[in-house]
Amino acid sequence: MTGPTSDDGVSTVDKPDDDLLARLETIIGRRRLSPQAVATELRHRGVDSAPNLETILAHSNRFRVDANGRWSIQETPEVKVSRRTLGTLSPSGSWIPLPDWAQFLLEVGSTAARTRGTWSWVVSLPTRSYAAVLIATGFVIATAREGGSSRGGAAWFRQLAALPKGTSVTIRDGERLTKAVFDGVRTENGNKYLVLQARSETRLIPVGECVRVTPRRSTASASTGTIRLADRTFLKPLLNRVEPLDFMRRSKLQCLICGGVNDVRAESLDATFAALSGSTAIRGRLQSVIRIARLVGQQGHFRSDLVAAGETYDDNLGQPAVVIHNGADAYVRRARFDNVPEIALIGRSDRQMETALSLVLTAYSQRRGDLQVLAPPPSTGIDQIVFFEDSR
Amino acid sequence: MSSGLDLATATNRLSEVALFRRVEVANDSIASFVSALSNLERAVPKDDEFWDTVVRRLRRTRFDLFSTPVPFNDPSLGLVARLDSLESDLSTIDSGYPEQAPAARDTIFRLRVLAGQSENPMAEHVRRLVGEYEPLSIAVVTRSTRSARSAESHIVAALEDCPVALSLIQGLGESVPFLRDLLVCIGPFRWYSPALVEAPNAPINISLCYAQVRETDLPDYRLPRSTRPLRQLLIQAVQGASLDLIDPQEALPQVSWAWVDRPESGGRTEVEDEERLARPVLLAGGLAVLIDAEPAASLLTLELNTDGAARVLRRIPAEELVEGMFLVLRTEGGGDFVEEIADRLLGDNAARLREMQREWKRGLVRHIRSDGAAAVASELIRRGSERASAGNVRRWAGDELLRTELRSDFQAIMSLVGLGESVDEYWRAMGTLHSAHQRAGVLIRRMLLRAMTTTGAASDLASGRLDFTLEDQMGGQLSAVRVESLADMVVSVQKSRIGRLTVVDEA
Repeated sequence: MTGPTSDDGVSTVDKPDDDLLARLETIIGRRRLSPQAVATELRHRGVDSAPNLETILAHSNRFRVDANGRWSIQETPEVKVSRRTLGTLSPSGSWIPLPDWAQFLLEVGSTAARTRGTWSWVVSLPTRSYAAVLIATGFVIATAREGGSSRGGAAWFRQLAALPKGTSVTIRDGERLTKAVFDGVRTENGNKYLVLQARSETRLIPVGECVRVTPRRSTASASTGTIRLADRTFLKPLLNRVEPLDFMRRSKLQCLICGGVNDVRAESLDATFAALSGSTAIRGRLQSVIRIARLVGQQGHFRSDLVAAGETYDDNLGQPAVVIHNGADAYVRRARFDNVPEIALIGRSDRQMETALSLVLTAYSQRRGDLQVLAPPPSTGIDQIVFFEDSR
Repeated sequence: MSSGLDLATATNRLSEVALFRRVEVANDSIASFVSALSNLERAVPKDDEFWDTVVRRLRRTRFDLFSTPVPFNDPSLGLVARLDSLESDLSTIDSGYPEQAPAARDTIFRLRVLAGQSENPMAEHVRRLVGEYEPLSIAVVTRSTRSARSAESHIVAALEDCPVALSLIQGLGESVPFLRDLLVCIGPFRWYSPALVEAPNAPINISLCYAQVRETDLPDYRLPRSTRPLRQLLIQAVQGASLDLIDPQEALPQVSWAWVDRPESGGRTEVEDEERLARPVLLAGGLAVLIDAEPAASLLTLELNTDGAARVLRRIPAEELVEGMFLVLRTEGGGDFVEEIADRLLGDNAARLREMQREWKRGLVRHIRSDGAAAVASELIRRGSERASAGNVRRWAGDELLRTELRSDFQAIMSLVGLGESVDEYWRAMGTLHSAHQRAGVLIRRMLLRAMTTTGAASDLASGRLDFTLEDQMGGQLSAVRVESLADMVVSVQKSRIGRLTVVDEA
């Protein structure tokens, strides 16, 4: 899987298979298991040729081993949007938490962001209203820290280091943005620095600070200066300790939403949502979080993109971390992305619902395995299955 | 909370708590007719064209009786006219089909009895349900799109002294726009879109159904290992004599699509003879048409209220056409009306520009046929195209687009088809054609809207067809014709057949 877990600096050739890691996560769950128990359970699931467990430990930060040699899941520091953080406002301005179904969809996004493997996650719902944008919001918030932690910072550093010399960038210094030109990478005392020419000075930015640097998407009349305050204040409580300015100024394609273009556009721009900061609710739009590329303009930074059902996605924004097929029609006409997990939203009022469900059942009947993830809340009419397709 | 989130929350909640009831309606005359028709179906030989047609027309009549909440003798049902026509067709059966004649005569007799009755059991039951549930709002959904105006007036009359907001929805009920307290489907749930059950718009949903149409449960759309309970259908059955039961699908009208294979005559140009994907559509008044089923194809539809007011012209993707919509077609002359008016606007230039259009499209089609769309797309990219893909290449070769959006794409195509040196000339020419098409579209829309305001359209609604004669200067007649049925299949036909109305033998 590319995306949130591919930037750990390990060559993909040496890495254990992502599906294997996902199975390991399922096996271990909340338990602590001895290496023998792990190996036995793997064998029970038909995995005979698993790599040495030591190799797995060396190449994945998802597991930890305690003093007694028992394995458990290493909790990742992903940002998780809380029920008490994102909600809506009543006409009188009082705070209303999101309903169960909406909270569940947020959690689908955040769980998907930390679930390894090329899985297929099918959600069937009475209505798809807001489903794609809520899942994308959960996913993007869960991965917002990417580039913010030292591990992610290294990944962002590598992306910047690969820029051609002479590329225009901006550096954030507190609230201020400064134009600069990328001039390569320098190593001093074993530490790597980005070399940036800003006006008359040369600035060296270390790995830990590189999140403040952003390539400018166009050299022509690029805007610098203060970023929209409204987005920042809305984002602050949602992103927890991730600095909104850094989040807003980096592009990385996390979610590709296929289908329902007009609805997704309207829902992402719907200013009905609000983030709760202390006792203050700040009204905002989910587009501030998911930052759909086709809505942010040439200069903007993105976290998602949106294409029509069946439309060919030209991957000039890079490979997405997850594809969300928004609707039965989008699922029926879906294009497959190698090694990219997918979430299918089948609205049971969608015209092609029966065809899509029949395709889902065919794929499910030929699955390689199931994934146990969070259960849908009762009384919401939501169904789901998560599995590994045999053909992928 | 926003209305959008509110609505989604209510729909999610309703999908779990909504109640589904089947209320059976008993009527002796209906039972006699259904029984007689079943006897006839058993008696007639299989694969006999004569009897196939007779039975199909009788089944259509049975469906209209099952699905239309109007009195049996209501003129909108047209039972008398149908009977006269059937009796005429059956006048010689005593000599030709002596074994089947008694069953046929019995069926006709039972139908004639029905045609003389003023009972309206469905409307009476709707009234009873309103009395039982006392809803503030009710939606009545009818699968039949015929007799809609009459059906609404009879339901309104039945609920005259009930303080309830009524909306009548025709067709599959795919999109009931608002939440209601009570939703009543005329006929079994399986006649309608699964959305009515899976994303209900009312807490109480009732299938008001003649007892002869069997439905014992609701379809199960749960995913494997779902924790949702299976939806229950609460059945309020009719007690009494044994019934001739019919499955919901069998009770639907059987449409014959045989006309699709009928050979067509008439002169065509080489380009017009291109094969195109098309979907057969049955229209009101015994008409049928093939609509374009290629990607990006669109259709003009007219939205009507049953009183003929609040009419809106709307262009929709062809795949969104559903039963009950009014499709706007050229009913005098044929072919592409937009193209014809655009040509008139272009005057003497039209022939030259059309030839240029045909030339590059022909070249592109030739390459697609010999190498395949994907290979052509690769070649175009090699020649500088930015948006070439197999899908786009097919769209560019079709008629919907006169030129590409990006000049780089057009330039690559011109180079591929050997017109690279004339790219500027062709780009300008196709731009001129494109503008003429846009002006023609605006003109037609304006003329149509003007014609609509001056036409006494409402009186024609029952027939499912509204005709609009356009201004003399442009000439021609357009009609908005109600869609009665869409074929599940897509067929490959000559392009010149698309959009041409055909008369078919459908009762």
